[in-house]
Amino acid sequence: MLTLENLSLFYEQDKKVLDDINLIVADGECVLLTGESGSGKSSIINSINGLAFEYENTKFSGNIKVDKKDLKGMELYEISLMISSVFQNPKTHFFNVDTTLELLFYLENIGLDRKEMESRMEDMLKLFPIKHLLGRSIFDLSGGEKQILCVAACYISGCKIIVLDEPSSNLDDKYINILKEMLHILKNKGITLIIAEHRIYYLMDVADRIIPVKNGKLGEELTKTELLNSERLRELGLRSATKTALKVKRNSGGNDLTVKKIEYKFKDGSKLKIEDISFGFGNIYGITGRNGCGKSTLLRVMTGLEDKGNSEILFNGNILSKRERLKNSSLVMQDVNHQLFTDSVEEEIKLGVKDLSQDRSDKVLYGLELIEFKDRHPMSLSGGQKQRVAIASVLCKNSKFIFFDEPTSGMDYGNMMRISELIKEMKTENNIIFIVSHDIEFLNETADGILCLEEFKA
Amino acid sequence: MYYINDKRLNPNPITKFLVVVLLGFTVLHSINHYLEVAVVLTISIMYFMNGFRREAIKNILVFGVLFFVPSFSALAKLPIFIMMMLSLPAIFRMFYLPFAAGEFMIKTSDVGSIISSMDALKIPKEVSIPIAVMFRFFPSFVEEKNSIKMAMRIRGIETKNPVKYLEYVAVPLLIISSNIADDISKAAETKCIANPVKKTRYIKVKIHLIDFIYAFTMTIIVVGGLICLR
Repeated sequence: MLTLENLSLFYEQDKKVLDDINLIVADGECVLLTGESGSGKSSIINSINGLAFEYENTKFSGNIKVDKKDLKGMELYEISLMISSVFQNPKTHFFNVDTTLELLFYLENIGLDRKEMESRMEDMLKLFPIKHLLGRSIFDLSGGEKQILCVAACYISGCKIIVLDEPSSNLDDKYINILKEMLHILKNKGITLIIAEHRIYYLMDVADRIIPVKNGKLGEELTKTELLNSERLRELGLRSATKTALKVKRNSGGNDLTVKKIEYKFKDGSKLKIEDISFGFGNIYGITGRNGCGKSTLLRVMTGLEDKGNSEILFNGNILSKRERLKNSSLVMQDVNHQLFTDSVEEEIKLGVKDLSQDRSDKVLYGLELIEFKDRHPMSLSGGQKQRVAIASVLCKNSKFIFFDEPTSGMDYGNMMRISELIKEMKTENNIIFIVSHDIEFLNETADGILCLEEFKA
Repeated sequence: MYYINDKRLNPNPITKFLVVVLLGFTVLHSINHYLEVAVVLTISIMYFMNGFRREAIKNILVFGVLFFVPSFSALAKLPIFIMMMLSLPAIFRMFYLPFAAGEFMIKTSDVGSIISSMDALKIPKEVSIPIAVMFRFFPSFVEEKNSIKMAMRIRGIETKNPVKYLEYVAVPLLIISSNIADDISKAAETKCIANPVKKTRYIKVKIHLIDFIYAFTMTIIVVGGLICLR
């Protein structure tokens, strides 16, 4: 049994992120904590696994107990002997580069003998068919593959409690389904699950209780029928409670930019081959497909960043060289930390853009609600603000082709709608916008046409 | 035994480390130039046998260029301008052998075997864990660095001025490095790396034939190189 008693959590001295949380989770129960970004649901998870105190410099009052044991003052390894964690970004999960060694790493650290390790591995492989992921380098795995390995590693650890912090945020449909099945299996094995998530459709069957979190407080338990009401969902800032189907039509015409041919060979021997597809100005195209089907590769080829592979891309009938593509393209990356280079927001948007008038730059910053942060260091801003700075710099570059790589990963409903509006406002008669995404709700809201890459992968 | 890549052609980290130390002596006492080539070729063959083809070729090409850089004693006789131009490559040339062996050690050793071998040497946990984290840092760092490079290219930041370039690259690199370090230590800590019980290792660090071959070849080349110059 896991008990949170009067748990309050503070950043620095006065900033309260959790306010008097009381929660009892019975053994084998699955509790879903849900709410908008910043509501405090991740903070609850990080308090339970102890990371909040060790890594985020927080203080807390109240008690966190597993059975009768108080976690206060325990070392992280002591907590980790009872509680396993799955993180939002599976990158955070891996200490070893080899996947098999990663699965065994925990067992080595608790001093199991080799025979017991093998039998646990055997046992895990019977439940989860992931043999094909063993003995590989984590750098060759897709996000989805990494995440299911994380869940498998939690099971193999033998911990009776697993906490999961937005485990679906980097996953596509297929892997969300696999994750869902894995959670069912874990629950059937009597493992206690505590999940923080705003994308809830895949958890409707597995969750025993659904508790909303708002401004650091727990609300009244939600019933499943209540969550089928879309207005109530919006109030809570949640994503849809049922699986959404893609509504956007396949292609929306126009032939300003034509991909005559793209051929790219992957390391594993598979091939991406695209021929004769056209895109028109004034449109937003969604590029979808499973994790690992070559979406990011296509993006690199089209922007001219990729040196390998064959490509022939025409603009108004003329061939565009890689250099010209680079010159005419802009990219907003998934992790915007990679693309902020200067020490003020204003300098950032002027970087690499010739003759940008003060008037124009102020207007862009004003439109994105960034004008008050003009002189701040971009890295000192919040995640959403950083993303808007990256968008501002794209707007100032005034490119013909604008690319977004998974702009909504980990976003709640409100933030997703905001970014959707922003992208729609960016659309003009002189540009084409491409969005690589597996977020179907977002694409339904935003895209004019869809290109599904799975059809081109062989 | 579970699907772990066959490591019989990959010497264990201790051997690799000893070779780095051994080659460190060549910085103090230079060895015969042709035997330097032999060292570089040996490292490339080791890369090649472990499936690191690009690294094998790169190693030879880089040394091929450095081979023609004159040594310091030869540099001193050249005009001052050329001396200035070539002194940095000359320093790099001096350190290339231990550097190449070190690079080979970092690129081909996994964290598990590094921890195991430090355990075998009875190195205390307080030292071995940070070293293991450091090793794990490199591959993540390379991955993130490539993304930053991509972002710079598409933003049109291709300044020829190295000071300016460093200034641009420094901001994201520092932020990302600190994120990586946090991620890796979180991963390690939630996996009970600090657990004080006696740990077991699935892969025992063993000494294979390749360890002897690698260490002996290098020793013979270095000793031979020293004798040749006497």
